[in-house]
Amino acid sequence: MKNERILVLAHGHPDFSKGGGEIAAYNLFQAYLDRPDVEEAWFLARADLKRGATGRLSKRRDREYLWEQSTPDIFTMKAANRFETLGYFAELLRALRPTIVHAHHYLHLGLDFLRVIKQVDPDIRIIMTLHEYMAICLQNGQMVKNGSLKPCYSADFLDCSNCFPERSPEDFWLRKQRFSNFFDLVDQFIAPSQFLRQRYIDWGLAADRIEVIENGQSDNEALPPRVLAAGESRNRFGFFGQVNPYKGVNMLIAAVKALPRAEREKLVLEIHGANLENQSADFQQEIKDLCEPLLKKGVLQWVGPYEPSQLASRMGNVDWVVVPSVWWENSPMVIQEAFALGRPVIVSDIGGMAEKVTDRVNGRHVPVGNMSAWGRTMVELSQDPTIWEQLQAGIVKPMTYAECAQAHLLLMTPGRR
Amino acid sequence: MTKTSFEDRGSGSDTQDAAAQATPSAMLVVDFAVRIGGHIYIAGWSGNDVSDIAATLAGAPCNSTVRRQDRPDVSEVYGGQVSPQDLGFVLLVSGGIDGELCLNWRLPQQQAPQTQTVDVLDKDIPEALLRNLELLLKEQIKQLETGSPEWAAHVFALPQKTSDNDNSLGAIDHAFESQGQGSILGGWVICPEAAQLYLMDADKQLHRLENMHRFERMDLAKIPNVSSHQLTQAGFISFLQQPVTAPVRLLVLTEETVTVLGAPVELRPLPADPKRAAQQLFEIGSPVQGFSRRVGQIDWPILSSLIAQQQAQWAQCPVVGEALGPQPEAPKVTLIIPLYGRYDFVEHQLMEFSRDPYMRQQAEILYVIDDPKILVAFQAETSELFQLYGQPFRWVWGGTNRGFSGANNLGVSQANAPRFLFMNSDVFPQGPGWLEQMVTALDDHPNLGMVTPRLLFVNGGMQHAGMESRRLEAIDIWINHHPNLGLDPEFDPRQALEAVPLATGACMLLRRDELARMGGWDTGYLIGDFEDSDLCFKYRSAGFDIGYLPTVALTHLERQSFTQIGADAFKQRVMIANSVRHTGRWPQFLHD
Repeated sequence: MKNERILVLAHGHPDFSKGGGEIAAYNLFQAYLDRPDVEEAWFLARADLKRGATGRLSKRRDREYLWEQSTPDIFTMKAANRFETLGYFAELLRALRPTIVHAHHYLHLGLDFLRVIKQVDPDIRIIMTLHEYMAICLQNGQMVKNGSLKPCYSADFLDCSNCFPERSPEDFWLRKQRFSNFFDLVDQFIAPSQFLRQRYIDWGLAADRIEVIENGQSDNEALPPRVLAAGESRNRFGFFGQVNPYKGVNMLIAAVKALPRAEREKLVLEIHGANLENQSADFQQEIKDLCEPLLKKGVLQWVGPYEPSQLASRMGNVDWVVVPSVWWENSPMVIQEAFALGRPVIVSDIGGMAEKVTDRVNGRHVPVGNMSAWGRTMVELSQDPTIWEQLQAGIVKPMTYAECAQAHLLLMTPGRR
Repeated sequence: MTKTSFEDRGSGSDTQDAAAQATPSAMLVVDFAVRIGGHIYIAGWSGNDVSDIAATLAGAPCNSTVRRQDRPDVSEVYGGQVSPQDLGFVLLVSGGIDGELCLNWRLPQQQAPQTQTVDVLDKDIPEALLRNLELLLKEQIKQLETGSPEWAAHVFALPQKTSDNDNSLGAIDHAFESQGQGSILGGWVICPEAAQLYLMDADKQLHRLENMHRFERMDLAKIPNVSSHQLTQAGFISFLQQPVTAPVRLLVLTEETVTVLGAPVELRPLPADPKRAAQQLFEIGSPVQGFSRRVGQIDWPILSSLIAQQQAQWAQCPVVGEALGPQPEAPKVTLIIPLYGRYDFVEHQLMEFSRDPYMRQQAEILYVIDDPKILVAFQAETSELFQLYGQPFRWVWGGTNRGFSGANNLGVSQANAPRFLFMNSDVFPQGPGWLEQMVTALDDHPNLGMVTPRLLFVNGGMQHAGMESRRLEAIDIWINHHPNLGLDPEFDPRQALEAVPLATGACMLLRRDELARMGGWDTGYLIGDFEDSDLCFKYRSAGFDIGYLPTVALTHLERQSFTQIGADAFKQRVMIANSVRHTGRWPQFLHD
């Protein structure tokens, strides 16, 4: 019976922003549409149309809308235009009459929309998928220490105030009160990883309010192994994703650079990196200085950003996918994508990365941020003639979008809770 | 008849001319005559044959006394024909100064008295002449009433010394006047123990600096030959109630000398705003030790007048405000919440209040804006806040900053319920039900004048579990002490409703009619401090108990230290000032 009307709400539209969260939300929206028990589904994405937070809605295509909203203050996570959260957004809800709002984020949207949903209709069920630790950590929700970017293990008013001395511990207490108060309006939280779920439970979310559902993937066939030239080994490593200080790319390049020349020149690192131009000048310069000598020798190849449709061909050209992030991550999309395409993954041994890759089964764990360990691991994997096949065989095909949508709807079945 | 005046008299020339005319024993020579205050002093010399020296003013005899002194200079001019002993005279004329002054005397074998008109100098008297009168003037000064105009005229007639060549040093560093309220002067002086300090104003009026607080100025130790004892009281601050005209100078008087210290100083007007006035006065840096004595003696007389003047204007300030959402028709309790500085707390409070059914039905929520800087920004948010949280509330703005007590009293004047809950904006409920429990406790216990809850810091330690007065010996004041501050609530000796000595105003429930009988919150404190304990003492002196209800706990984001040791200098001094006032108002509760 078609009885659910689902509004999927995301902090960005993949048309403009290719982040993992946006892509997951959009694909889930389409998977909902295909469900027999879903009467209707819509996608509402926050967008910046270069005229500020007007609060206006505009149609992108059938069932897809853009909302000009923003959250300049991530401390309070207040919408810049609350007036229109109470206005246009409420009108949208009254027009669409959703039975479920599945929110993927509140960054750029503001927490306030949660309250407006329940004001418009208290029977609307709210699902919220958490993609990082924004409620817990002011450091862009990354749970790393401000400045050093060292992993942080727990949020505490005093510790947070030490990271951000301009805010008092009482300010952080208020922030938590505020987030908790809004979170009370959410019917079901979804964590894409056990790790993230546990962090939120440690923070104070009741364990029975948050379930793990992995992000879905396209239902692709695994790619064949890369064809090796005569005498060539499984020596091509690929990084896919954003290049920023949390992603560990600088550490990885430095690790390659530090290898003895004879070993270094036996392997190739491809960087399929995006958004370096948005980073600080210092960081861009650091990356440039690291890359220059390696690029000349052909050890490093800076391939640049890719469209989702290009991913399969790009991944097909490497043997290993690397995720060297120095923050915890949640459930990095690239891990599921690599598994879907049949590539073992080498990850930092913390957080969502350690959870999603099983060491020596479908990839390898490397001590986070440890340059020499990363170098040694890459050399070892490229020289071992059998390890690639062994780890490739350990990959289990990840959940599809359709399975993901089904899992959500099962969770939201009335009477289940 | 010879006429003598200063102008035609060279050094000793008259004496020589006279010697050529007559034998010195029959001569009388006037050297000069000066007017000082209401007295005329005529100085000269006369031979042994001269007797009955007297004076007339405008033809009428006047009180005069003659004092003799040795004049070896005259004796020498006449080659010893006259003895220097008692050769000189000073005739002191009192009882009038106007009209022609004539000097009369007699000579043997002469029927008619000798007479001579004398010109009197009354300004720009050369110092050389005054030096001749110095001893006499000093004797006169002792007999005159200190500080009287006559006394002052004589003091000024003394040869003045500048500070460079004297053992008295000092300066006025701060000089304030408050219109109609008096002046406060601060500075330093190093002078003999017995010396007296005076202020000389532009009208040459002398004002003794009697109401004075002395304090140490160790920074002056580099001055040569200064004893450490002198340093311990080199600083001074003084309050003068009578009007003085600027510029003013500092004078040190000893029996022997008058010393003018430093340059003339203009009086700066003291700001009418009590806080700003206090900031300037407290800059006159007497150390914390002894500040409690100083502030009562010197600063409070002016500050309390300024506070009263400021509050007299409140009545003229229009009160504006707005009601958001339908207000309860017959609320049981009005929450009166002053807002100063931050208003982002309001959203957090409304978020919590809106979850409490009792509050939604029975409470009137009244924010009293007490800060012009937040008025516009707050107004811009109110409608959104109501729409988002659905919690009706009101706000009022009284046109001016009134401080904690003044804002509370304004709230009272606008409130509709028979009970008031005074609440700080940084106090947050931990869940629904707290207000109902407090109201029940108050209603069930008519002996309690007020009920206050337990307040916790964000980390769960106790911020308020009742208060008590504690002596802070180091700075000689009573403070409001929060017992067991910061400890886990399990260590609270009170776990059920009990009477406590004092309680915080951060969350205080009381009855409307009783508060009116108490006269409301006292607005006489500077900036704000001690207002809650002051109110508690009012209730206690009226026979009520102060209730503490530890079964209700709220979170308070209080960040201020209550020991105040090491707090910033101005805040600390404000605290001492308020404590002194508090202690003065409640001696029956605050004594050793």
